[in-house]
Amino acid sequence: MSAQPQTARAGRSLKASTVVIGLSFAIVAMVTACALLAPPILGYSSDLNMGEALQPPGSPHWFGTDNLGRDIFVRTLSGARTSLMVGLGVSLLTLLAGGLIGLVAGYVRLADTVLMRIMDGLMAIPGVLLAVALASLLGGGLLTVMIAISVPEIPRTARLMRGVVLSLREMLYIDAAIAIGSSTPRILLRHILPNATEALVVQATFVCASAILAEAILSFIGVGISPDLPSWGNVMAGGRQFFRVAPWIIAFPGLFLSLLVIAINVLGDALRERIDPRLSGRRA
Amino acid sequence: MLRIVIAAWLAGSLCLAASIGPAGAETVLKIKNTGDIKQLDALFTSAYPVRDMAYLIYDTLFSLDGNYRAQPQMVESHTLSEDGKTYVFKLRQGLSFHDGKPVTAADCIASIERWMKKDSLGAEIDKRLDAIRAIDATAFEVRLKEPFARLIDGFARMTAYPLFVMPERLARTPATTELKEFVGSGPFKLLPDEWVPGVKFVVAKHGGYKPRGEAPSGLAGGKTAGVDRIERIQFSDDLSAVNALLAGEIDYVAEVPAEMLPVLEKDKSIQVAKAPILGKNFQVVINHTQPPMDNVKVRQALQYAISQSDSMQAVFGGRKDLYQLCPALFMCGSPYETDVGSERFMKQDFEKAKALLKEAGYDGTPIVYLHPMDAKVQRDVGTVMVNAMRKAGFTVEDVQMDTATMFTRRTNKNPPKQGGWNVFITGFAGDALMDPLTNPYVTGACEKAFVGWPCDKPLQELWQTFLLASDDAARKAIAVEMQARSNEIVTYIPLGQFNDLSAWRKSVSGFVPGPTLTYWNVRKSD
Amino acid sequence: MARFLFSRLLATLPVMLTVLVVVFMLLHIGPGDPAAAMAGDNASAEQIAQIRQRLHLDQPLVVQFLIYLRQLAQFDLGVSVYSGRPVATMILQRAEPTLMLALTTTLLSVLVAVPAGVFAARRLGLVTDYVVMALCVAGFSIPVFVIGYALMQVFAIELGWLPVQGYRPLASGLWNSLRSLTLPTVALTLLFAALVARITRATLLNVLSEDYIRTARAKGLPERKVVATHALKNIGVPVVTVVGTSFAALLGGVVVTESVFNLPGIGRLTVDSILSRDYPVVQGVMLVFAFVLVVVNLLVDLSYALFDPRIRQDMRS
Repeated sequence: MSAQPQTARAGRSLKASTVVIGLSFAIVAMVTACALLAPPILGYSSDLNMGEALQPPGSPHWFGTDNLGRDIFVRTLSGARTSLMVGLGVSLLTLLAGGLIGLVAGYVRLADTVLMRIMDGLMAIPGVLLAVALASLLGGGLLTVMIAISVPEIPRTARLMRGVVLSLREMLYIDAAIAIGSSTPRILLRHILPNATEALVVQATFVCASAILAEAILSFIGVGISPDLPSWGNVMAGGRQFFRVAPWIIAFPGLFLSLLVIAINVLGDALRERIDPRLSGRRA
Repeated sequence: MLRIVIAAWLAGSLCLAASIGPAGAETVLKIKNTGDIKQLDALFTSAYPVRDMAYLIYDTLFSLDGNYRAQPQMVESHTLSEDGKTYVFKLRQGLSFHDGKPVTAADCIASIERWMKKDSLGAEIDKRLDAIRAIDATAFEVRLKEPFARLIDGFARMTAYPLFVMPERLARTPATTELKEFVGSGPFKLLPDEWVPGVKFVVAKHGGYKPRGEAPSGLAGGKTAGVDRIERIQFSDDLSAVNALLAGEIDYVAEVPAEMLPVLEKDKSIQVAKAPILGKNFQVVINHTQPPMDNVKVRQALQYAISQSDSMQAVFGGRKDLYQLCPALFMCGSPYETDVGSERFMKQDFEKAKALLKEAGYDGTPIVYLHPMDAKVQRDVGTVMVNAMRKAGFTVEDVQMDTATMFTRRTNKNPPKQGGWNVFITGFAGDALMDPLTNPYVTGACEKAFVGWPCDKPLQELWQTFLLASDDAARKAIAVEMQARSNEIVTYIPLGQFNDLSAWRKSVSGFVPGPTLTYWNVRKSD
Repeated sequence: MARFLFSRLLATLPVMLTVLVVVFMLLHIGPGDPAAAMAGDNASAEQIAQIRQRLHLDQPLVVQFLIYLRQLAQFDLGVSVYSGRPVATMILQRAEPTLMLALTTTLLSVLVAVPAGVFAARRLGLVTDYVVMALCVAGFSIPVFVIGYALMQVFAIELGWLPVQGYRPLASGLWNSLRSLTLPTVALTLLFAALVARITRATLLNVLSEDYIRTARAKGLPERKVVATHALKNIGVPVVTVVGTSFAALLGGVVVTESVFNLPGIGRLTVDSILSRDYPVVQGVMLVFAFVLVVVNLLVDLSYALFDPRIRQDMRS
């Protein structure tokens, strides 16, 4: 095939990708709006209403109710806040911890071996199991769930950061900075960190997406956040027993969750492609 | 090394396969029940699943019948001396253990001695024991220092620890050491190689078992193995179990969630019914040693806060036929049923709760509530409970955890801020709650009481009087007093009585009503 | 080669030790220990204390760790706190469903994902590329239990084609066994294949932009031939790598899938043990999982030699 169709393809791909990216942005914006507005307007529907238990979707419960009569529409929309908080919280925790560890490991040769061996050890435990163990042992709650999901994600981020630091170290302007006598923290902050930002942001999107999924899995296993504070995961987990009689309890939050995770992944991909087209599709 | 690994794997694989092996004319009953059988020494756990499976394997000297009365089981006849101090027991002829050896008086004596070390009523017998000795191979004598009308009740009891008879060589295992080998003389024998915790537990018919002549009643009467094998299969959740039942992959499911009923009742080949047992009850357990719950007024406010009806609906939805609101601490439908002192918790009243809290000077100290999230019923009833407490004016710290953490934390006597607790919910079966001697909450025994540690002199005295009372009328009168006192100081609050639902394929029949579910007379046709 | 193997094996020791320390600390620092749960509802404080003593739970952490290490040094994973059974036996008894599920999923995933990835890369930027890639994103964006329940509803309950739950061991016949694994495998493949396909596509795109491909194109070779003879040969390494490195994710997925389809495998054993605080079992399983992952990574490294003569050369030196 010659170069001709390649250009045509590029044109078409630009259009298709614009639509997909636009849609993804819309989904993220919509979920963010839910997260911000739904709880103050709709509340969490945490109050029990036994008379209305297991109502199928319809009016007035558009998405039906669960076995305690709680409104799935309200809990799905307001649950966006919890799920999004988990996603963002885990990304932040992972970036901070992983970034810091990677930075130190990449810059301080002495710490490198020790830190990276620990990271290897953490990576050798299947992430889901590590998170289940952590969540179970630390006890339920939003913060502990975030920590439990973050820990297995940290090694990858640390490795990424370390890689970036190592490659930047070799570059001339760092040498120049050292030559003019800049202090280590200054070099890290002024020169290395800004250059690592792009890679880290892309990584953060993927961490965010997988954290939202992980929260659902923890709830499913029974070590997630309390149903007082609805999240998509714990609403679905509550419906596990009722799958045959009330599939809507799983279906609606599941739909929201999947759409959001897809959208975040798409945006992450797009972002990565902009930074380095050759990397597209490779998850760190 | 490699050979061992391969052998072990093969064994595991065969073991998983056994249920589909060459069946021939063999009848296999496949059941699902809650909980896992990880061990089988019934003196080391009071978990019901373990006890119920142990009843298949072990026989008992006496058993409770369908009316909760002790009846001879392994014992053929027994006599009591004039002075009420010496019992002589004669065993039935032809009893044999699964290892082929006959059951002897020495086996019974060793089993009694091990049991007395653990069981609370056993300990009361031990205190009064003068001597226990074999008369001949199948007869033995128990001599007491003073008359004690509870001896046979003790031998027949099923909670906390039943007196299971095992060969002397095993019964000589110290009561502090767990058994590793499980040989009994019951209608079924354990197949240890096929028992994989978390996967399945298998017993097979004990060919040498001689059933009593009487019709089966509760745990007493003739126990006939109706099938060749019973496989108790472990499921990861109730939904899988119900699916398996509908698909004919298993025969019986205990404790079916009420929400599954519409699916099950539609299927013509499935029978759904209340489990033919006395029933169960959830209870609010209160820590009496920690503020603010050390104040009786605050505990009484909690009585006003609860709603049996909401709690039951959280479990059974709209199926009012599946539960009853019950004011009795010793269970409704049992000999000691009474509604005395139940006014405060039978009608939810937030205003009265608030008034009592005010009177008690409650300052909003958070009530630490232990809330397991990995068990559906605990999770949902707990949510109802926390909601109600908040509406009644309590500040609640809703601490979510898994069941294992709850089990550990509830034994912690520290202040709630330092790892202790104020309130949680648990469930006991009716066979334990129905009798003041086995009801764990009404002892008033302070440090020695069940967690929550209610400490009350009058209750302790009532308990002792009840223990020694010898006729039914006197026992009933004392039980009523105990309930009144117990409700006054709020040892615990019952959250409603219910019967678990069982579902089975119609090819299965023969369940015997009684204190707990038994499987020995259950039959299966093709 | 032998020296390479040896040095790689040696390098796994610190990793395993880290796993050991991490898992041990995790279990023992958290609240809740098995003693109270073991003792049951009616247990008195003394009974619980007795059990704690028997399990060495009353000893300082360091002592407990040393006891455990000494045991391990004798190739003994210990016994379950609850059943008193050897952990190694328990793991072996539960290994078959997990291994079979991992195996069938890996096979099916590679069969589906590699062609899909190649196809998408060849159609770079076309609608079909987008469709394949969208399916991939969806594959790992939907919780595996949702997929599992949906498959169960349609193929087991409505259509009745396949068993709803449970595992039939190989000893009951290959056909029975595979039938019982079909739905779990499909559910897990949707997740796993999505990962593999994405990476295959990305790698192929990478390879296609390499100099020698451009040379081949310049020589006037038809595109199909370029891909078949030059590019595909070179994606063997990356595909093996991705299958290897995604193995951890696969094991994670297995845990949930086993629970949905009620397969009595190691995943359920682990979760049950965590929830009941059966310390020796959790430690044993995590250690075995870690070891398996380390070995898989080692095999991946070795397989490079198969695909790439240059690496083979490196290993010798």
